[in-house]
Amino acid sequence: MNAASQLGYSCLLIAIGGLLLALQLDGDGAVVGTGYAPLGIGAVVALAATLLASAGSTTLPRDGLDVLSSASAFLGLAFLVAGVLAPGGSWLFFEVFILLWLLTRRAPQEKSSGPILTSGACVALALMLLLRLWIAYQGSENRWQLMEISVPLISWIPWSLLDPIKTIQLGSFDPTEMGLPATGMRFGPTLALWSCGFAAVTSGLIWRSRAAYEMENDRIHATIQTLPGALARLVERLIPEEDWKRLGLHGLSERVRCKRIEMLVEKEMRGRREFDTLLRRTPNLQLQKPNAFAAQIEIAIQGETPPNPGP
Amino acid sequence: MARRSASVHVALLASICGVLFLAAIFLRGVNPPPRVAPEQRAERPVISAPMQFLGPSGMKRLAELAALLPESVREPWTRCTVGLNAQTKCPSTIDWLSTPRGQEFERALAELQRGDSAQGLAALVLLVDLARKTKWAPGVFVSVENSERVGALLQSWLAVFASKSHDDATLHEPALAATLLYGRVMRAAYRSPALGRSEAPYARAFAFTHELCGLQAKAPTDFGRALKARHPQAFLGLEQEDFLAATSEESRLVFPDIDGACGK
Repeated sequence: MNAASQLGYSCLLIAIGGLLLALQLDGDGAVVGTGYAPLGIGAVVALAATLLASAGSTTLPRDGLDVLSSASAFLGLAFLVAGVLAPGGSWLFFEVFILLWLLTRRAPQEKSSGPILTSGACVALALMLLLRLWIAYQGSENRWQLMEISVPLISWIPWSLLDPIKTIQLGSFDPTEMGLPATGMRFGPTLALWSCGFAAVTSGLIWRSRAAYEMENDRIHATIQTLPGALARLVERLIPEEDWKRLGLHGLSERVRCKRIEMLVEKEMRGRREFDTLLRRTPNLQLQKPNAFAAQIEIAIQGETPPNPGP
Repeated sequence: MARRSASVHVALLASICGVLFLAAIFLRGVNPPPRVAPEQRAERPVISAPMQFLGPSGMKRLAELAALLPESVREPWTRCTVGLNAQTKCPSTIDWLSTPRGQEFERALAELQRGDSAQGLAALVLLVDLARKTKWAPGVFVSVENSERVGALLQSWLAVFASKSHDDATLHEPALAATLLYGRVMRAAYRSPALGRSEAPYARAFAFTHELCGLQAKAPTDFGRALKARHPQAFLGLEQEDFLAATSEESRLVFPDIDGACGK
């Protein structure tokens, strides 16, 4: 399967996951939407994460598939965040800040552009999904708090007069705040829908990121292959594939990409020529008291094989 | 050719993705279908305002309901209803049921419970009149067997009609009201001992109401959902420890004149 197909299938996976995260089953067994409010928050988080992670980037979508890929990355992230955020309560703000921080963090050697799902972000998203599922479960059982703790001693006294102080309720919420349907929720099928949706969007986003990287490399390779065979091989030796992203060759138009390759080849060749000249002018140092380090460096520069140490 | 085929393949994938993304966005706004109670439907019900028959002034529409009953039970039903409502004393339920009129009452009830919605409503009218005009609330001179008997009669009526009442304009609201009355009577029975609680009526009512509403299987039945929609407090209360407290409380609102002592 080529990179373009992989990109298409990864977007399809994201779309399917988004569809599953958009649905829930109410108490009557009817399919009900999960509402626009969570998607709104998810879209804001996705937008902020995309802008922060793409700061300084000059890449643009170059064809229909690129547009689909970028849209899928944005929508997938919005669906994912909307799917895991508990859509109310004071913890919502903490969740948003944590997600923003995790989604914009990226290692310097990171291959893809835009927000990425690191393993840390995936773990955080999974934990948030668990919190949301727990809230949904409590709501489906008509319990409107995260948990209820019995107060020791007082709760053992069988006087109904003490009922109000026998238990402490933590994290109270109401069904409207959490977007639960008026007729309640069928937790089992909804759990299956959301878990499958989460898995599909997460894996789709990771897959899309890798496929997009591979497709950009394929484009650069195709541009270089328009040169005569020997020259193309030489250019690929001069500018190795692992450096294409770092050298800013991703996300460029055909014309700009050619110009950039020309510039990089010229710069690389100039550097090599300067070095060759310098190397020819450098006399044999003939060190008086060569230490091992200096000797090894000289051997490396002169291209001689190091002397075989005697037995 | 291969390149064109690949482009078509990618275009197809992109189109499917586009449709799915749009669906994922628009389906988020899908609301559940509005709940329409049977009596709210456009078609004219066989009997309008059936709850009036269960009220203290139900006698005024006696002829209207009697006209819908088969001839074989019309006379006994009319006699029982008129007889119950004409009582000035307040006999205990068991004492009244052991009279000739009481025995006719039970025979008419058994016959009506084999019939259609109108006969079901007629049977419930008899039961509610029994609860209104006889003494069943446990006390110093009234044994718990009276409330257990009323509860048993209501339970057998609910077992026959409740499960099919969710889609019946005649019995929808009366069946929900009967459940509330049943809860109140059974709660009176299990709270009757001065010390402790009577476990037998508690266990019986618990098993019956939970099965009727689908709480045992954690999947509410149609009747359970109808009760939740009409009397949410009563439905949610069924999962509490004193599971009939909320039902009993709501019953006082629906039947304020029924107190188990003929309102005296």
